[in-house]
Amino acid sequence: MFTPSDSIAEKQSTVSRKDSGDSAPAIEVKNLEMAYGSYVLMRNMTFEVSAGQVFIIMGGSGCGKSTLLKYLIGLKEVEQGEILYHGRSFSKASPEEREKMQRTFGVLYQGGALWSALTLAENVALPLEQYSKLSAGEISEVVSIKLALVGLKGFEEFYPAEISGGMRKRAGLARAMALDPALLFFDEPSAGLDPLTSRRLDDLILRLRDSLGTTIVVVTHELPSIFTIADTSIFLDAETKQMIAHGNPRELVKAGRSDPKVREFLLRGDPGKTPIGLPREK
Amino acid sequence: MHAISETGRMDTTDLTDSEAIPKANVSRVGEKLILKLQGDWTLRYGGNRQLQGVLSELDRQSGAAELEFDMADIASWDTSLLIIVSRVQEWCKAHNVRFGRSSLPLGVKGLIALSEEVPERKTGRSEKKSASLFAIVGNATISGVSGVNAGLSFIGETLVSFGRISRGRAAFDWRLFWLTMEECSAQALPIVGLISFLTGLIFAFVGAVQLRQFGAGIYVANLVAVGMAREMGAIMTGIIMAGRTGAAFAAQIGSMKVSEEIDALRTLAISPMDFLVSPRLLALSLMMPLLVLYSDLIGILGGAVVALGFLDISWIQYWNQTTSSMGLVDIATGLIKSAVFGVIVAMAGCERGMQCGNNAAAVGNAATSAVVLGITCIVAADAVIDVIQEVLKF
Repeated sequence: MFTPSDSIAEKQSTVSRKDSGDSAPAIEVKNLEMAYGSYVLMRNMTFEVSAGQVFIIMGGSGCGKSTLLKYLIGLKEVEQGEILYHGRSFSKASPEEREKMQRTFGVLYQGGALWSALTLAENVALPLEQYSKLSAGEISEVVSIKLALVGLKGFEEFYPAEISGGMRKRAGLARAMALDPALLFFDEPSAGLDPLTSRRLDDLILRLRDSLGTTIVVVTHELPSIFTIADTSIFLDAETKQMIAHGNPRELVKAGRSDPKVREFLLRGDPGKTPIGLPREK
Repeated sequence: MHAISETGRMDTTDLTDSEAIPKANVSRVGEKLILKLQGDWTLRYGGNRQLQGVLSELDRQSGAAELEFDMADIASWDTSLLIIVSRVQEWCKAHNVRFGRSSLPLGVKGLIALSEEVPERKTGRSEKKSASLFAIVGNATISGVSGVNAGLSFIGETLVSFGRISRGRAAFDWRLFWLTMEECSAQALPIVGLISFLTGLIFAFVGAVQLRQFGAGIYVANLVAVGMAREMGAIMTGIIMAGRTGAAFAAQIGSMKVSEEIDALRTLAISPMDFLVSPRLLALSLMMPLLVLYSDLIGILGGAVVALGFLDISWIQYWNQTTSSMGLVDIATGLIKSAVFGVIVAMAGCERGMQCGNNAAAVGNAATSAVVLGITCIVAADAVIDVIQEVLKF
């Protein structure tokens, strides 16, 4: 939810003011420890994400990117540390408050996670039927608009099994946006997509951010996507169990600006190379 | 510019928060219409309920050349605002009125551009076609015939697979065979035992009530022994295995199909019939007779509990009556049926699994269908075997 304005920056600042009543960051993580039982994945994670930013969680395979996403959306309980949204504690909130906060989230899972027994229109309509007081006709109009936004107008009556992987992801995005969430979370949105489809999805993410002022969190290790869409990012290192970088990837890739491991990751292990997704320097 | 009369105002009586109340107001300056939106135009406040009022008001404004939006006083909006914007845009197109897109906020313009970028695909899905009775009957017949064809070709493929296995030319998965043997034997004993015990018990109760009237209570032993050995042991075990193992076969193979594991086998030139179906079929067919023998014994035990507890018959009397009434033919009949039922349950489960669609719902449907098909075929096969036995005087 946001106010109309021709300036996105203005819009973004209004969003956080409206939602929190102050200028608190959209997401705040304080001293978070991620663990599976006694096995600690990551220690002492602290970072902030401003409203309207595209925030990338990156790192090598198995470092805990998707686990961090699970903590952020409440699928895993925080044992140590705290997660706040717009200044309100999410991890320490009562179950009812938590549910309310979760309704301001939209999540796009890796495979789309569409309900296979429902058509695309029914998939998008379900959250609206559950959490809005709109009539059936209004829901149908909203569903058409959401599907049109992701380029799937005309596919309302298709089942997830009848469409391609890229279309499933876009339909998953339409469902994630059903309730116009303030925060959108993406788990590996480009995984399994061809470069063009992947690029179109990146473009869609940016345009939704620009038009709606939504704060977007993306878990990915796709370098072209990272350089295209990121406003800010963090890098998780499985070896030290620490977050070893925080900033814009275009800055982090520059020599001396971050841990060598981060640079190595962003340059695919070749320091002489131009990063994939960045224009070649003349 | 002038504001239109009160009739131009939309109904907002269901809303209480005055700042958030979505309001729409049509005004006119010369040939230009101005649609002023105020308040919260979000999903929460349902501002689009005023859409019909807005469109009616626009219809009353004849001779306008242009329409612009005034959203300066709008408190907040989300994508639901696009509903009114797009409907007003359609109205403008229909009435030859220029739609002033430039008057929209940047975010709204961006979303409209995004939604118009990919034109609507004409898939024909939304058109509801009503089928005639002939079409319904025809489709049902075609579907039935193709189902029978698929079933027969599955039986054929299974026979071919066993031919390959017997010649040692098949990739027979022995691990799966032993695992299925265990699942169909030791792991099934508790549920088969419980149901068989209760079946014997019920049988004896029903018999006792009738036979006691003629002083023939001792014949409860005959009823339970012959009933369990010839019919109930095999049928009850078959039904249990259809629900337990047949459904599991369908779900296992179905989910393998969904995750393309079966395609992976085919690309390695490994027949899924040899690798997935035959081990299951063989294991269940071998284990079913043993399960039925166990079921018969437990059923007789259930009958004995009633006889000993309610009919004052001693254990020795009951046992003697049981052994004298039940011949090898009765036991053999039950065992033959059990082997047939084992094949039926395994075939139904595997066939449904192999015919499964490519999504999670299809796996559930395959499992349900395997149970229904299995039980129906068991009862039908039982009747056929009984008739054959009667004709052959066996």
